[in-house]
Amino acid sequence: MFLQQLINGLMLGSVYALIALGYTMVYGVMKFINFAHGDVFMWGAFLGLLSAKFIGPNFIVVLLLTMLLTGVLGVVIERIAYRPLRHAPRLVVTTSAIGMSLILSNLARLLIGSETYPIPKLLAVKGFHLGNALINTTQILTLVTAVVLMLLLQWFINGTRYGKAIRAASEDSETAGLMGISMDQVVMVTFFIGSALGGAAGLLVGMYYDAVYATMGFSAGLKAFTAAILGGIGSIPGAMIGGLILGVVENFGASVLSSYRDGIAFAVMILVLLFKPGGLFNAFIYQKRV
Amino acid sequence: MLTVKNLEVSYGAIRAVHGITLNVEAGELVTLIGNNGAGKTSTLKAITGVISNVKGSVELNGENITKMPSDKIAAKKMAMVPEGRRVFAGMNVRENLEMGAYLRRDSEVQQDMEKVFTLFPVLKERLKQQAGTLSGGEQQMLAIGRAIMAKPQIILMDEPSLGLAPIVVESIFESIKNINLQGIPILMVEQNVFLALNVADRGYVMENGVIAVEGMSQDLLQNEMVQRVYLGMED
Repeated sequence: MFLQQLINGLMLGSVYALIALGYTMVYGVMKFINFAHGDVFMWGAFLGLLSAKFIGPNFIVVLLLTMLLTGVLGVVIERIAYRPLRHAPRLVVTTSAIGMSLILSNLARLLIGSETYPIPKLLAVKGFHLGNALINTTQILTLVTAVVLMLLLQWFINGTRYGKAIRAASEDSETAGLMGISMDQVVMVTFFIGSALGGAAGLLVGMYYDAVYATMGFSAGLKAFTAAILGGIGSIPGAMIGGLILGVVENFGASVLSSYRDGIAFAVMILVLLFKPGGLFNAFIYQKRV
Repeated sequence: MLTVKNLEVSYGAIRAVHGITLNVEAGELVTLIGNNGAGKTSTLKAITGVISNVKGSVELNGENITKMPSDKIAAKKMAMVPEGRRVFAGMNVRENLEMGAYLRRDSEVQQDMEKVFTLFPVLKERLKQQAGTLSGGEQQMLAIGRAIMAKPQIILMDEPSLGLAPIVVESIFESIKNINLQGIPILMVEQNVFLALNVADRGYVMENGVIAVEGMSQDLLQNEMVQRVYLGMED
């Protein structure tokens, strides 16, 4: 029972972590919460569904295509809704994000309808026994994909020129500009990566529950946002750890108080904010100005 | 090299700099001195493109760079050591230096890093340490080293002595002089008038957004007004 809950929790948590990365990276660079990100995740699930129909049973290619399409969607959203407001107060940009979220979710309902769609099978589902816990191939695939993507992101952010530019711009965009780092480029790359990870999460969730629907972005987006806050908004390792913790705690909590599943997640966030307002990994520990 | 003409800087309706004219020639170390609020930092921020609400003109080697965004100006090989050092605190010393060389694609980046270590050996010892954990003096060295990494045509410095112990300030100024003697022109904003005029070739004294006096450093050190207002000398 314990092992089963842990596995389920880690799997759910790894998906939260993937989505949370989009919130935290955008916050790091632009200092606002991109409330449209949950809807980008939902669109990612649909784009994944389309890719799966188009490509057939080849998980890697479907995943890459989904990430590419969702990444481009994120870049387009930034161009339309956020770039004209680059120097506006953060509250204005946040309001624009809420507007974008409404547009994206209503557009989904308009174009796709309110039905629930299954995702074509990308691999054979088989169950394995791990001690007395049961784990199936979709769960393993979800966990492995999420971990690989997070490792790739860590490498990108710490080991490449663009990645380091993103970190520098998150810390101090004015000084980053003086180094010759273009904010337009940094913002574009950030939105592409954050949205592509959200798209991957959409595909994985859609495969796991075998269901894609127009309102799936709301609750997942909110949970992932919670995970990002829990880990310390703006911190990339924070979002990863925050997502995993939230997934595990939520699963264990739900096994005791099953009808309070969502309540447990938010209670965790409130507790963390009460005792550690910067989150577990405070990204702005050295920073005087935000 | 750097020519600033009739520069005006405003913050909304408030004007901080009322049309100043200054220049820095090849190989020179020029200082812009004055009290808090005189408009020195605003002048530097306008030159480097951090502030865009400006009038007048800024030319670098005859090219008009007025109102260019700061990342484009950095591409013209103008490097800045900002006020309060502004090192990337969460990144280590090596990464900070790499950010200074962000726009460079040539093969001499590593060599230039060694040059920085010759100038500031302590940075080599702290290579893997996060910049936020360095002392103030070390952070200032890192900020200067980061500017050198850009292989600049000119370096602008905003109050390199800010918040540092007097003994550290002297060694920083010595390094600044050294960098200048290697042929890089420097425009340095300072409040420490005496030390600044001692290392600089020329100086401009700024008061309430205008240049009050300008001249060779030794002349300014003898200037009656400079002595009275900035050096605290009574006759």
